[in-house]
Amino acid sequence: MAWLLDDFAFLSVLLKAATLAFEAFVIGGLLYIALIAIPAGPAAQPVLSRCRSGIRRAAMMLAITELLFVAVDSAILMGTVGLSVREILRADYFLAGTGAMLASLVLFLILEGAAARIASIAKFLLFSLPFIAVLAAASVWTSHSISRLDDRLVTGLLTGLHQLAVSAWIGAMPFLLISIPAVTGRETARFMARRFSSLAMVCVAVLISAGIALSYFYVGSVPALYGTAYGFMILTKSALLLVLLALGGTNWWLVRSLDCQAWDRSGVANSKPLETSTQPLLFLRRIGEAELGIGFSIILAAASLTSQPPAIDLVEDRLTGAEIVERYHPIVPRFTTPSVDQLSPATPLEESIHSYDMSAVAKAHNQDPDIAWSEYSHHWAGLILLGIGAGAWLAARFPRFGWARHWPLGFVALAIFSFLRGDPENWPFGPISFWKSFYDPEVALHRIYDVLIASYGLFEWGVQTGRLKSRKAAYVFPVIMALGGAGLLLHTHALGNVKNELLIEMTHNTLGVLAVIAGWARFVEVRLPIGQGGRVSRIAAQVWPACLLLIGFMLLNYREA
Amino acid sequence: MTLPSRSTLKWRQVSLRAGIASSALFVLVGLLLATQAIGHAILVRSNPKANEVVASGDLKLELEFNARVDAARSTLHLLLPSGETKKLELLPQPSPAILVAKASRLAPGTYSIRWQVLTNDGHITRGEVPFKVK
Repeated sequence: MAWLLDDFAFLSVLLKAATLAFEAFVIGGLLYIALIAIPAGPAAQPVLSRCRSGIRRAAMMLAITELLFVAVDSAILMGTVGLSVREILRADYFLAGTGAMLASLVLFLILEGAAARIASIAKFLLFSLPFIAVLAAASVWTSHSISRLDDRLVTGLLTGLHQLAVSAWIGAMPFLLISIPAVTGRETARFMARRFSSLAMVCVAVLISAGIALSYFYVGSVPALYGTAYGFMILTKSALLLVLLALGGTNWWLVRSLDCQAWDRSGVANSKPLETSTQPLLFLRRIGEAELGIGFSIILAAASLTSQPPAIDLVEDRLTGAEIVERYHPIVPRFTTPSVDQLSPATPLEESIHSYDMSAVAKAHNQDPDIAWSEYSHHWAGLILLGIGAGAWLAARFPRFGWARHWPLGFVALAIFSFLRGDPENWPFGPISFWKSFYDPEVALHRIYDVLIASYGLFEWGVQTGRLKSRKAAYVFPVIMALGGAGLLLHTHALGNVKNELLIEMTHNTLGVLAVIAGWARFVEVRLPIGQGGRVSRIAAQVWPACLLLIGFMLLNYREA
Repeated sequence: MTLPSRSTLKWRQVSLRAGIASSALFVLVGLLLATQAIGHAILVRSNPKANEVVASGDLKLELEFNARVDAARSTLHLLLPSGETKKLELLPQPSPAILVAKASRLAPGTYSIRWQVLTNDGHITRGEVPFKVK
């Protein structure tokens, strides 16, 4: 069971991200009904049942993920420490997870019956408060604050405020997006959008203030901010937040323009659903979808933070500004590669699985030729990405260059290159045969990943060349890119050298942010009606190819030592 | 305008579903490609220190972390020079962030303390402190 600790530890971060996301949706949904839907009056009645349905689904998913989170941790403890079930039951994480799970299940069961008849803001808030309190408390109970030696109360309160603000903003956003097409009458839609906009501004102020205060306790200084993994993840979250605020600002402007926009020039209240309008409400929904996606990426980054030691505790092996500058100043890419014979011998599978010290295993496998091999691979991957980005930009900007539409085939080339270079001790370069290479789980996953990249490239090629005409097909590429970017925020590499690991993590985080931005920019472009996207569509069409080019340039400058 | 044939429509439908399914698998596989156990309890002080040389006999082992640890659900093992591993009984904690144990009658050789801790917020971290007995 000990060797599973590595994989399950990562799984527990994923589950933590899921619990944070679903918790945000549950709390956000309850607050949305209380503060926005109910005050909108009878015209918003069609909205209430949709919102309750959404909250129930989120509550069920939260219960499931909490159960899995508790089960994973318990399985590891029982397998490695030899604890009995009775001994597990008293652990703090078990009590918190079980409390959240039970609260979610009760909410799922009673929301449709008990809450359906509540028409008053105060009564609905009274109904929601116990669930919000239990979920928030459970979340704080499994945050850094509970494990701190000092200032537990202050950091706990700040953590709770921070998470509640995220829930009331990002968590409530899906409910605004499902409300707009369900509402009849422009006045009601305008009221709800304006009210949500005001709520969002308050939430942003609270979460930024609480976040800065938490940084005082968990980061402590500017050098810790850029010199540690925790600190750099805070910067990554902040960068994504800035993107979110830019989108939010656009939506704020759209909401204000609702006051001036006349859809029905006769002045009569329009009884048709506003979904069909190509005016601000449609743009608000599309940009809101991108906000939601980026908000989820921030939640993923937050989950990653929960598993890292606070920067203030890491006094050794911090990166200095000079080291960062030295690593990232531009270099000439490697165009020569060491031969396979020069690489370190492969670590036996048994040893790598059972080792208590992964960094020692990684260090033995990270000598100069290994570094050169990896850097060469990354530089050529960067060239391929540059080609992909340039092709995507040309195809969008100059449609007369029909050959540029074949840019997704670059992913097929990338997959083939990765297959050949990714695991040199295996076929075709190394002594381990093609079929035996699958005995190593990581190699097997790499192979599957390469096949999927190639398939994904072919799929998008079908979309670009018109072979796949479905609108839904066009969403696959941007969503995968955005999710892949968010996944990069969780990715770590053991190299046996803490500073090198930090520098590579910085690269990963930056690549992840660019991929997230690229994915959601392309998503917005595709989601807007063809030919009616206006300035928003034009900006989005420039942003995502530019992000691909930047990713290519970063990979060209990639170094591991 | 010529409508697509039924076989073409079916091919496109299959392609779309295959694309979505492979995309889901793509994300799942990508997310599984993590390489390192992560946890946020770090060792800030230990007795003995890493790679320290100590005298033979009885030795009090003390490990201090940056966060509160759940001692009832944490372990210390001692890797002996013979390659065997011996589980150590934890003594009462002098502080919420410290684990204490006693190793008796240590003969000369190379040892290693293997620790695994559960912090109060549910994260599990492990590590190793090698030392020598002269």
